[in-house]
Amino acid sequence: MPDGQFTTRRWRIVGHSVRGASHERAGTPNQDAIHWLPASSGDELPLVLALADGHGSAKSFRSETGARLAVETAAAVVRDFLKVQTESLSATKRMAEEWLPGALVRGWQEAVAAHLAAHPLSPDELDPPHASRHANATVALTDSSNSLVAYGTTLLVAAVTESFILYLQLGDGEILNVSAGGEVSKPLPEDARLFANETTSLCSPGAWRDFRVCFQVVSHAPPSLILLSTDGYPNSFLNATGFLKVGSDILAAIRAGGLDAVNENIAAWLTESTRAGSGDDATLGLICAEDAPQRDAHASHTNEDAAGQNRNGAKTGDACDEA
Amino acid sequence: MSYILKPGQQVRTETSGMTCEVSKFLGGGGQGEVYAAVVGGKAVALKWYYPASATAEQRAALEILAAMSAPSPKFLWPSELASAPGVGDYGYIMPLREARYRSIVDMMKRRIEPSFRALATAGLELAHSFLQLHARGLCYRDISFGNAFFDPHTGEVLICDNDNVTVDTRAQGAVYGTPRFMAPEIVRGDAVPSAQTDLFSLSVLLFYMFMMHHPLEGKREAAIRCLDLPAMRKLYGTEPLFIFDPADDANAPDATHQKNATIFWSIYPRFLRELFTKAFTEGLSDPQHGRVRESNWRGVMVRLRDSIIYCGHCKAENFYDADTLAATVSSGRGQNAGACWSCKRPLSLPPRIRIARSEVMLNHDAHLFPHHVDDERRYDFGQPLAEVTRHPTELNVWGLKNLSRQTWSATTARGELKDVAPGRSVTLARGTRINFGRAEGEITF
Repeated sequence: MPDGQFTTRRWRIVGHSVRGASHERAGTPNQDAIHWLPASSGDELPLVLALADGHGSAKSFRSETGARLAVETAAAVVRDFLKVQTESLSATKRMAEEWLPGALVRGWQEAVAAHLAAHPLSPDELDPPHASRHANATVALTDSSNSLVAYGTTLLVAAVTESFILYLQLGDGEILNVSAGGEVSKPLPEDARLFANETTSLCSPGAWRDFRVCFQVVSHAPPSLILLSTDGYPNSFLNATGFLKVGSDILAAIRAGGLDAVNENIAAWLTESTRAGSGDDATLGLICAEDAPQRDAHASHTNEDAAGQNRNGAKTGDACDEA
Repeated sequence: MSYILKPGQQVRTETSGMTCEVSKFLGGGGQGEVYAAVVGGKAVALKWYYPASATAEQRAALEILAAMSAPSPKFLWPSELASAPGVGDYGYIMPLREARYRSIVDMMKRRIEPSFRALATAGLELAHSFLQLHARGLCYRDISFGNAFFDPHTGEVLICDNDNVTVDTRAQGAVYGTPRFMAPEIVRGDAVPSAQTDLFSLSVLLFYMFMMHHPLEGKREAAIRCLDLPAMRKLYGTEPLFIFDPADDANAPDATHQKNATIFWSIYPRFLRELFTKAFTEGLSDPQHGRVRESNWRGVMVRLRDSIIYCGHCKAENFYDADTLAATVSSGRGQNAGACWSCKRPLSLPPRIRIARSEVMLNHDAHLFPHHVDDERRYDFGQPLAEVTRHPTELNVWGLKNLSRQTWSATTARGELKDVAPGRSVTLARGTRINFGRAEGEITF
């Protein structure tokens, strides 16, 4: 996964993923993933950013790989889709809503199938001594159609083109828009099925139906900042309002100190946040309009606000003080 | 998110000169944004175009549409244009969609799960609505499941996004439709939108509603990695092939990714499958004569409603298929209604009534409507003429209650003649014939 940053003519992407504090203690890997395209130098739109949160449950013991395959496949499928759209915006919107979710699911399933073919489930993974770890996975996973569960993951995607921004989300996590004025909003509707630890998943039957899709025409006031996060980060906050404030705080920090400085601090914020908060893996990706840093003079937030305050009362914006 | 108009912002309607105050943002599309608004104390919807879409041509088209009345109340028709000082672009006023109407996309995503009866009613209303639009010499141009809404409980429909409607054959509009819903001749560039191409899009929409799948997206689509223009042109334009083409299975549904289509296809009676087959075989190759007309769809949707039966075990809706039943009888296997698609247990048929060419299942909740007893009456499901009722004390005895204002005359299988006054019932017994006035029906078991 590319950590760091990438510059385009109008937008830049930065992001990081950190292993959750509880995963560190348990010795399990970071089951989140982040990936964006273009991955190296170049300045052509579209830009695509994808995040995934592997379930990490007993049955989903390959979800680290599932999440990685999800972000890599999704970024490529969405980029390829966007590159060939020459129809009207209305037609593109409908194709994005109607066709793309199915293509994303199919792409991921095929990537999983290829991985499985190269790395069949080992006796160790299915062995009875591991049954306690894998719960009832053994019986279910010997059926090849159910082996997708081993790779189960969520998926969040945002893509920026010259004329529109596209958001797709399956499962939990957060996507925020921050306007030039610092107003924070969610482009996607809430999904009532996501509560407690329940989430929709790429491995569910009919997963394409569970995607939420928003097609946002870049009209008079496009967002200055788009923020994608797996749920390990927002779950570290006391409440939803606290996390929403992160959006405007980060924009303020970018304006005060620049995106590079913010980028250097993201991993530290996430680490602090998961230690003091959710304990879960945490991943944050930012797509920032290049005009955002140029409005420093209007920044009204303090750096301390930048990453808000988590539910245990620890500020996560310490590193941002440097910004 | 930032929108073009803000709550509380006022625009002015151009014809009546009234103030229209924006209440809230409802949704955004490729051409503009739609808001809830208030004009003269009445809640309305206001669509406001993005600058790139607020063209002089669009304005001229809207002025024509706003000057004519809606083909029926099912259309959320533009009533007048609106503009605002200081805002360069324009919009139009239309009726507000009630919250009970849900998008067909919601059904695809299983956010709503309508009954087959509601679905058949929605199909009937869609076909009837587009017949009314076409009868006015208009062409919708862009029929797809993004612009049709329906009440999942009743099947009542609403058709929105009417700003792309043009006079048929005057095909200068900007919108050529949604690729997957376009007629092949438009995708190929051989034709422009017309009532004839609308018929193809209507067939795709209906297929999608009933099968939860696109009629041309089989194995060939499943093999596509990037749905670019050449791929779309081939799939929907130059080499379209129905996924259930009886003569060519090269594009049959993919067994892994496209299971839904096959599952649903097997649930429906043969007469519906045959009409879809015609729509996507002859309808592909012969746009002028092969397309299924709105009136054909209307008739089939009514027949589908009348064919619904309930599984005696799990209560799931199933369909009576007279063609299949006749085949089992003629092959000496007796009257076999088949198995429930849901619980797989054997189905048993309820009493039926045959009236002229129609056959209606007399389920516990069945009703007869004006069109059943009079070919010249329109479909009106708000005015039942008869309903199935249970005898108040003899619970195994069922009857047909006269809800009309006319007295029926009934003749039993043994030749006894009885009057059935309004409010009275006639027992459902094999061979009983009921004269409704303009038509006679016979009860069968």
